[in-house]
Amino acid sequence: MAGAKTLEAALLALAAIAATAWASGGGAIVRTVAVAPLVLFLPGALLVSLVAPRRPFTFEFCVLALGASLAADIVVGLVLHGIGALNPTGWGFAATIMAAGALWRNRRSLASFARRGVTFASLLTRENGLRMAALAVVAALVTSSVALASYGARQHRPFAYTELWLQPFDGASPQRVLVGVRNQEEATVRYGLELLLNDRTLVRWPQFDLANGQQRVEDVPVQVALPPEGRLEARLYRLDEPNLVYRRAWLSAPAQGE
Amino acid sequence: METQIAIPLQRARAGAAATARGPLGLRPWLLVCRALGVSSVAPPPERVVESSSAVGPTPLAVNAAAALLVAAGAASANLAGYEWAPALFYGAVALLLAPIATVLTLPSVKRSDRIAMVLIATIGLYLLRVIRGPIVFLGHDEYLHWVTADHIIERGRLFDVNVLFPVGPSFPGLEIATAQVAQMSGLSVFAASAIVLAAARLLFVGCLYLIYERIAGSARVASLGCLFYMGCSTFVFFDTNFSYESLALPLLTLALLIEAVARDLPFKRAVPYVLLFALAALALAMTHHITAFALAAILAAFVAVQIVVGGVRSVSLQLAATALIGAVVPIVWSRAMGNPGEAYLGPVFENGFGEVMRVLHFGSSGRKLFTADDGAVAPLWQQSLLIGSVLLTSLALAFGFFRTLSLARLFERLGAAAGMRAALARANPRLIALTMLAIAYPLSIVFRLTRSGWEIGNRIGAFSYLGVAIVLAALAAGVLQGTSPSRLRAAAIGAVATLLVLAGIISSEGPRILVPARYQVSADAASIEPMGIETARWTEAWLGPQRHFVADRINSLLLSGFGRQLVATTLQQGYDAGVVLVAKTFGQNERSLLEKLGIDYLLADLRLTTGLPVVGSYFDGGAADAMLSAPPLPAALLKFNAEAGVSRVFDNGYEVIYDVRAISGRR
Repeated sequence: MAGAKTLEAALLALAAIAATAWASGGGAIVRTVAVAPLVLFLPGALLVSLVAPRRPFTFEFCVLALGASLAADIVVGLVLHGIGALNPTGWGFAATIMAAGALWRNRRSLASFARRGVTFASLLTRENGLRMAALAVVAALVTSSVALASYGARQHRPFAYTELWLQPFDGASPQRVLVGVRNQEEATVRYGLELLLNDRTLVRWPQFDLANGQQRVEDVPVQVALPPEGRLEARLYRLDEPNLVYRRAWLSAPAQGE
Repeated sequence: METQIAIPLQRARAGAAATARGPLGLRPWLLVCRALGVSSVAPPPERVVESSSAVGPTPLAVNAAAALLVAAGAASANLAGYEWAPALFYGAVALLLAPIATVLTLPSVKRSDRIAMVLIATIGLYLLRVIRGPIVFLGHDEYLHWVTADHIIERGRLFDVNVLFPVGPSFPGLEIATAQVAQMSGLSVFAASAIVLAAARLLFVGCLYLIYERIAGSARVASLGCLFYMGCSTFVFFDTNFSYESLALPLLTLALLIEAVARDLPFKRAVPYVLLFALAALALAMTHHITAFALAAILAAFVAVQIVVGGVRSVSLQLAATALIGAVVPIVWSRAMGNPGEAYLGPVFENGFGEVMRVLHFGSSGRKLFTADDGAVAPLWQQSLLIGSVLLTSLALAFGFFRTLSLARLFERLGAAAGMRAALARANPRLIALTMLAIAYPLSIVFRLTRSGWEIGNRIGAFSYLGVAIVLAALAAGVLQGTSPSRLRAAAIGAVATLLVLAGIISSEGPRILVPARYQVSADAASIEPMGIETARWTEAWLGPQRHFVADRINSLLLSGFGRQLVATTLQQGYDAGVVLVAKTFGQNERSLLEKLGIDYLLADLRLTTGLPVVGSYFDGGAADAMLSAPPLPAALLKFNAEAGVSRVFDNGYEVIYDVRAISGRR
């Protein structure tokens, strides 16, 4: 009985740790491990144990607990929406209450399950050792598979390109503008850039290099007012083809009467 | 559970012989049944051995993990442009499944091992989806739901308007569960959705196993049923998308499982289960309209068959209560949401049924089979496998249908009992109802032959396969393998089951099983690539979120998801703003449309000019697509260069963003 009490205390402590882990601002992986049972198992375990008090921990119990958890999460979400608490705090309170309830409700089953079950000695069998080794191999292979697929997907870039953009500094009047260039050509590129007002050059950056993934943003004051239907234009050149405008962007003043 | 139908072979044969006696020596209906493959009127004899299985789940798990590594290599190789990669990927799927299918077919496998193997296959197939799209969503519908989930997380409330998918916020079950995981764990919506979908997948197969086991009384039929269900075209990829069906189908099976558990209890003890059923039904109604109504239909079928076989009084209170709840809850929820599904689904069903009727009357040629809208044709081996699988499934259904009814004790009782009424009363009405559901399979195939009915057929498939799978399983376990310990025979049946799963994947994804190296126009997974994503992110960083954009189908998704912009859609606004982009000139009509819709920016993607749309439309299938019988002209997309008052604020050589606020009056 003392063992059972210890287990109950340990489980409740575990629930408290799990419940606070998400609130602690820890790393996403730690929080995910803590959150998964809070969201996907314990709410349903509470409900199923309320519905069938003497139901043992079987495959059917686990499936029903998983399903009831998902169903409860959805309905609790509706309730939290109704009371204006559909946020991490609201979710945290709801999940903690349901998890604590599930553990308390199942404390005797868990205790007897633990008493019947697992000791370190019983784990250290040859069969279990082989099984653990196989599981480690499975985990390594699965992790490698996802990592390999992710690496391949991140390396996949069907297009090499350069972005050019031109924006009013304050989002409205072009008295000061931001002109930006970003290189995604998969190589370092030497560029030239000029800013023109109605085809007359205002500013030039005759030569600058950008490595792949690097960007350059210039904040340019434009002292001259943009006339009606006037155009403030940025032209980007690649210096391996200096006579060809590589990218163009512009800001137009509204036409007269608009 | 396994011992429930463990009838010795001799007894089964004796029973068959006894039922065969009659005035004519054989009853006529029995002859018909036998001709259709019902070789024994008894349920499939099952040798239940609690000793160790021939092959345990551990080596199969290692094999499955190794197969996943091969699949990941194939996915990366495909992105690098190797043409053999899709075949290798399919090979990896076969490597993953075939050994499991073989062992599941054998009679002497422990129940716990069967469950473990089914779950290994489930997780393995789910991870194929992760390997296929490991860093961003690839499916069109996934972006629609992502936007709703983002709204819930950002705004802390449900039911906000989603311009991409107006009906979506009325059914936010999947997004609520995902938002909860995302908010409590700090994960992105993409990563949180992977966890929720994995849980949903396990729930679905776990429930399916337990339902089949309760209905058929056999762990072998249950595990094989799960395996054959994996051959449904929606199982591997469609129903693992971040889309509401992916959670709705597991919730449907959860509700059916709860109903099955409650059925065996006295009503007083069943009441808490009925309440749990109500919770599941409400969650389902909040998740997906069609699936919620499908649950109501399946429960109604249970009631109807129960009435036929046992009379009205044989319908238990819990069955009546669950059927009533299953019907009322989705109606009430839909009404409360303003019946958004009617306007959304009405045209889909109308067009689908209309085209099916035209095909049946030879008034339309339907879809061009095995050919995408851009003219790409599926390889011959895929065509052959697909046709073969449909023929094989149809043939197996023709034989297995009656076999499964005999498993439901219908024929056994009809043969043995004095009166039909008494015989029917002892039949298994749920198994009969599920078997009848298999009849919808040919219907789903007919719908899939049509262009506008394809989606209906695809969705019917997910429900009809609940019946198809158990019929195929009963056939495999009861007739093809029986009590034979022959591994060769089991391997042959396992190979067929694996081919059916491969055919299901081909039917769903075809030659586009993996993301190709080359960009393709309006091809969903093949069009979603880093440049478009970076452009969408640029809009949020430099223009701010919630700007009103006009863009094509793919860029609308990216702008909504990665850029958090508001895109113009025909569904939401009733006007197809895409016509502004593809019109050859920028006239008064186009100006008026920009003003009416309050557009801020246009995104012109010059890549649209390089080919026909793979999925059939450049935009959302409205007026803009009707204007295009060929790719749009570059001059049309760039016509705004010459317009006074239009600013060209972004250019990456492929995509150009125009600021039209001066014209639309938004500045």
